[in-house]
Amino acid sequence: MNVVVCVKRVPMTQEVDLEIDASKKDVSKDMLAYVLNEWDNYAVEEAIQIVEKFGGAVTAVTVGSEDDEEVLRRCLAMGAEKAIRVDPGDLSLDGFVISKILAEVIKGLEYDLVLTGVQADDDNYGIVGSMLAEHLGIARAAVVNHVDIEGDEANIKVELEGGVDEVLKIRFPALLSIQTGINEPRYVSIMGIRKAAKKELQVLPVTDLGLSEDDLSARTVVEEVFLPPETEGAEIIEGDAATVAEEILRIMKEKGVSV
Amino acid sequence: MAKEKLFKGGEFLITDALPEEIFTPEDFTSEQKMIAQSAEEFGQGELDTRWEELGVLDPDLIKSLLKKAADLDFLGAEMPEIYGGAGLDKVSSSLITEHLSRGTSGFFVSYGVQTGIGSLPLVLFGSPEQKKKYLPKLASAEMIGAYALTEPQHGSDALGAETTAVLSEDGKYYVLNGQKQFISNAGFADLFITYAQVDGTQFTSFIVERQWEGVSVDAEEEKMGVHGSSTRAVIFKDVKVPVENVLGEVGRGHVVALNTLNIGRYKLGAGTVGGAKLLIAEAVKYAKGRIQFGKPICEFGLIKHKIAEMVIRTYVNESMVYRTARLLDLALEGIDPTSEEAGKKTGEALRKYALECSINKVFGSEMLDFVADECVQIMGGYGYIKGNPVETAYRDSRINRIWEGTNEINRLLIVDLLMRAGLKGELPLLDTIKKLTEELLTFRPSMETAEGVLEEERKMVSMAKKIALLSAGASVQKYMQKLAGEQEIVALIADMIIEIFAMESALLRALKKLQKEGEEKARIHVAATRAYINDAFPKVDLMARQVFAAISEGEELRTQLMGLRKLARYTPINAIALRREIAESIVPVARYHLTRI
Amino acid sequence: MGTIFVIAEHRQGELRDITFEMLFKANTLCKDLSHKLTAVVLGGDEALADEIKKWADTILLFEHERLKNFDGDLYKEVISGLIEEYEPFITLMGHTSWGMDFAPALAIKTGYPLATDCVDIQVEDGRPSVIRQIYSGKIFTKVSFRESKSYLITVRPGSFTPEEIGEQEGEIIKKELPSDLPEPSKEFIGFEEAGAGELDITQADLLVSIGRGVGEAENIEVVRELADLMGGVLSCSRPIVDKNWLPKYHQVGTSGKSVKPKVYLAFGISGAFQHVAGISGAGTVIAVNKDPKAPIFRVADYGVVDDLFNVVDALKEKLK
Ligand SMILES: Cc1cc2nc3c(=O)[nH]c(=O)nc-3n(C[C@H](O)[C@H](O)[C@H](O)COP(=O)(O)OP(=O)(O)OC[C@H]3O[C@@H](n4cnc5c(N)ncnc54)[C@H](O)[C@@H]3O)c2cc1C
Ligand SMILES: Cc1cc2nc3c(=O)[nH]c(=O)nc-3n(C[C@H](O)[C@H](O)[C@H](O)COP(=O)(O)OP(=O)(O)OC[C@H]3O[C@@H](n4cnc5c(N)ncnc54)[C@H](O)[C@@H]3O)c2cc1C
Repeated sequence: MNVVVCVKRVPMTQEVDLEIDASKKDVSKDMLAYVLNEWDNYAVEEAIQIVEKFGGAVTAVTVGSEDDEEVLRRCLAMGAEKAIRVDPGDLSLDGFVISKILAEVIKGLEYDLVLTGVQADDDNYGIVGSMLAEHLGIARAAVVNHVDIEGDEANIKVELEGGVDEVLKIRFPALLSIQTGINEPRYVSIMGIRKAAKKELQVLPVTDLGLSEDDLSARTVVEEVFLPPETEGAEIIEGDAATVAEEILRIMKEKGVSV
Repeated sequence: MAKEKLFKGGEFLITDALPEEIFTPEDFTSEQKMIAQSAEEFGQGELDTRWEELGVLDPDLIKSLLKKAADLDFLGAEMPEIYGGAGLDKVSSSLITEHLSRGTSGFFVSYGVQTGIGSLPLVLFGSPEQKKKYLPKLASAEMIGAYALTEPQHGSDALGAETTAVLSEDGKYYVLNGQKQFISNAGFADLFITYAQVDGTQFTSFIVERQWEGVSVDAEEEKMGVHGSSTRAVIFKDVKVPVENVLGEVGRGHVVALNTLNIGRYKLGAGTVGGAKLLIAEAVKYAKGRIQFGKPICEFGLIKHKIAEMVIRTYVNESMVYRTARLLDLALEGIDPTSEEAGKKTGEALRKYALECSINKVFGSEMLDFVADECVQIMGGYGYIKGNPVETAYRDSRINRIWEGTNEINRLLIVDLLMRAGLKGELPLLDTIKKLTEELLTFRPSMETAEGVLEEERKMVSMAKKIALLSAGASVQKYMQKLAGEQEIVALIADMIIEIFAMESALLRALKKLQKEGEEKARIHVAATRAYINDAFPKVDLMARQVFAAISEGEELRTQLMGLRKLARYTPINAIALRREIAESIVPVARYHLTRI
Repeated sequence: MGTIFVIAEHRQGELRDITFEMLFKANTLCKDLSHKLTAVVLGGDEALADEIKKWADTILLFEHERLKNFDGDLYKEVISGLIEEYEPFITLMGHTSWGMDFAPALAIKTGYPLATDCVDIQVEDGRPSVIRQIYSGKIFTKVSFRESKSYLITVRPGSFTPEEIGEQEGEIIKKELPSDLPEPSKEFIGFEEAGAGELDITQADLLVSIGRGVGEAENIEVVRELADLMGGVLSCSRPIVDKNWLPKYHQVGTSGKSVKPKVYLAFGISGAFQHVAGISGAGTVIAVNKDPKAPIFRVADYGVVDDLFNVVDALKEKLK
């Protein structure tokens, strides 16, 4: 069972005041810390658990700059066998271009299963997995929170809105976009990191893939980014905790909840 | 790897290193960064989520977490691979320590002992049999270690221990009797590295197992802080210790004891860096959310000042810890970890940097106390209330100035080590001082400020060294062998040395960043360095004056002060603006942002 | 005159709210642009199509055994055929689990550009652009498309509130599935209630809800005590369930429960849309968060910028 996982490195923005950069098309990222996208972390763990159980190897792929190799090395340390980074140079990337590049790379690999995260924590498109499946011409399922493999097919659960799961059987080769909570991602051990250093991390310039100009031209363009409009929003309750508590209790009473 | 230079211990005082000759956190390799991230993730996932639980002593929880840490190879990080360790370099292992230091004393104290004083003596001085027997178990958390040196009547003066060891008639074992005081991990440790006097005078180190007859522990101490950790007295009553369990040689326990402590000390600095970074994040987040007089308090100048100062000192501490760690790695290069002599050679190589290690210990512990204190202050009354992690951090931090050699002892040690290096000819101190004194007669300070970013600061650091050397030289000349008796002067000299190492580590790091990444990217590094040096330099000047005023008078004093004035010339800068800039850069991201892992 | 497509989403014989939200937005767009609104219903029956009638000019209804349950491949095939045939200016789909499955594949199949998870749509000079939220709602962005004949957009649930519009009597056109359909790549087995449990958070008048900000599992008890003191019920955001700190039936949000308490107290919840979508029925939302920029403050009625434990403790104090 060979599994390919597509991963992305994203900035951590919790409790950070994001500032718009000079281009007005992105936030300034100089001071931000980065991590492996939360959803991808679950996808990598799932992939590794699968090969631990059924044999085979995991290959991690990312489209990104040299800095992004950090997340590939992490995948290697978690247990992936091989990693590939496609360097996009200064291409402007959207979900379409990324999926096109990934597809071109993955076509050359042996795989039964391709995993992605449901979405990336930065731009929240949730688009790459399904596009990629279509480029590859394989079966797909989005928002998968359970995978149970039997031979060359798997029983999976797709998480639907409203607390309902859809149970499906899917045949390989297939692409699944993985939802958080599906497993408990492992920590990376020092020995894992050691081993990772000896594993192959292949770097491919996008120009080597033989994709056409049209393949590499973005379908969508970010015109501008801006801070959310200030006006709407909550009435802020000020004062010390005791005052705040009193006010909360008053509001609750007013709204018909007596405590 | 990089081409940093292997300086001698204490050499920083007489040589102006170039930025490329020292290691900085910007030089972390990708493997080192991954190791740091791995520890950080473990910390966030397993420790931060148990902050409250780890604040009360719970041996089972500690042991289970140590086991988890062991599974990730954190416990054996520095142990040789042949004994179940990971054989990591000091930079990497310091990164682990830094990122596991997160205000959860229950875990951190235990982890610190296990990987430091509780196993280091074995790594350095253990026989192959002893290592084979105990190290794998310590690395895997199958055994919990402890280090029992302190006695009720002998703390700083530990070599005067009263515990006795008497060889049995058949020569097979020693019988130990005595009591050890304030032993971390004692409540659940399986193994004690301890010390006793053989024949009343031969201070010797022993490896003692908890399960042996006659080993017992007293009640848990109720402490000011680190409440999650176990601290108890350990009592040895007719404990039979097989002769194979003598650690090192009979009568040479002081070598084991002192080396272990000396080397471990820089690690304390790695821990304080980690602790400070978390406190900074807490303080900034709080200051952003706390509204007074209609605005978040982070917008007030005095709060900005505090935030900036926390960042600056953490940055300085961080710069020196990793500079030191790399220095130790360089010193250890070429030692074959599988050879029988490895431990001994390692000990010898590391001993030469005891001075730097002590500096890290003193600076780190005082830095963290400062940061915790200011963090409480930023939170006002809320910072003083139990249950606020900051209140805990404030009390926890306090122990660092006491253990691993009090800061007083470490200050005395810094000067003592320097003097020894001078006397032994390891450092050309006397020559340097002599030359300086001659130079000073004709020295004309330049009236211009140096051109270029940090050039003025570079000059100031260089001058600070001259000032310290002159004061030290004059003091030695006056008191000769009796200098140690003049503790206040010794401490002033020690403080000058500490400040010099601090300033220079910050300076070289900022310069290196500047050279590699340019002014814009190095902006905050440069600001922090300038702000720090501009405060520290006049302090060095003041300390030198105090030294001279204490040792000289009349014409001699006047001449000395005149010489000093030439060296101590500097133009103050607008450090208020620099601090504002630093604070304003960190407020949006709400975490220490000078290092990327 | 062009047309705008809305792909209806329905499950087990019921239209999902997102369908009406899209119809409402499409209606406004059609008015502005003098386009016709065409709703596409794959599967379902006439009764279902009837429900949409008043919103659309035309309803294309496909009734077929194979469409009884959602099948992303069929959706892709059939809709791409329709797009060829009708050349809609814009096709709206839901940014739901199913939408995430078929919309991107459809974009590749048709070659038309797609923007996902959009909270607003504008048309200027004959070109659509969309507003999206990135970095979990901390930043908004305006995204435009490469010039194209037809544009694809998935709409974030909860972005539009359907209001009554003038009665329309849309024409229902029954369509046949093409004959050369691909073999299904997945087999539908059934639906499963994910969060079944002894507790029903949807019936509570007061929900005391916790998010990742609670920090550690132990702290949950601290908040549970408050919920008990208040006579409320404890609920939570998804990460708390992902970490196994609380069972799934406590979860509020798109993949958890939609709740309608009189008062919803949110402690340490950032306000991701998947969470907020679950509380649109709440009477009053009071949010406590350390981060003054947390998106939850944009949807809450009242906000407190503070450490949640300060507020929890103070509330307990008052109640004792
Ligand atoms: C929580 C905790 C955990 C500990 N864990 C361990 C452990 O695991 N293993 C272990 O062996 N020990 C441990 N200790 C003991 C610790 O290392 C000692 O407390 C420390 O070395 C100081 O010794 P003392 O308490 O006897 O103080 P003293 O030595 O009596 O010192 C009292 C004061 O006098 C000063 N002083 C002493 N000598 C001089 C001098 N020559 N010149 C100037 N000033 C001097 C000191 O700096 C200090 O300010 C622990 C202590 C605590 C509180
Ligand atoms: C298909 C899909 C379905 C999903 N379904 C759901 C769903 O049903 N329900 C759901 O909730 N999520 C769902 N999510 C996940 C959602 O996108 C968010 O990741 C999640 O809601 C974030 O949860 P949170 O707000 O608790 O955590 P975070 O976003 O991490 O926010 C934690 C907040 O706590 C604050 N905080 C931290 N410490 C404190 C303190 N001491 N005091 C006060 N405040 C503090 C922080 O400022 C922060 O704002 C879904 C995602 C996808 C892709």
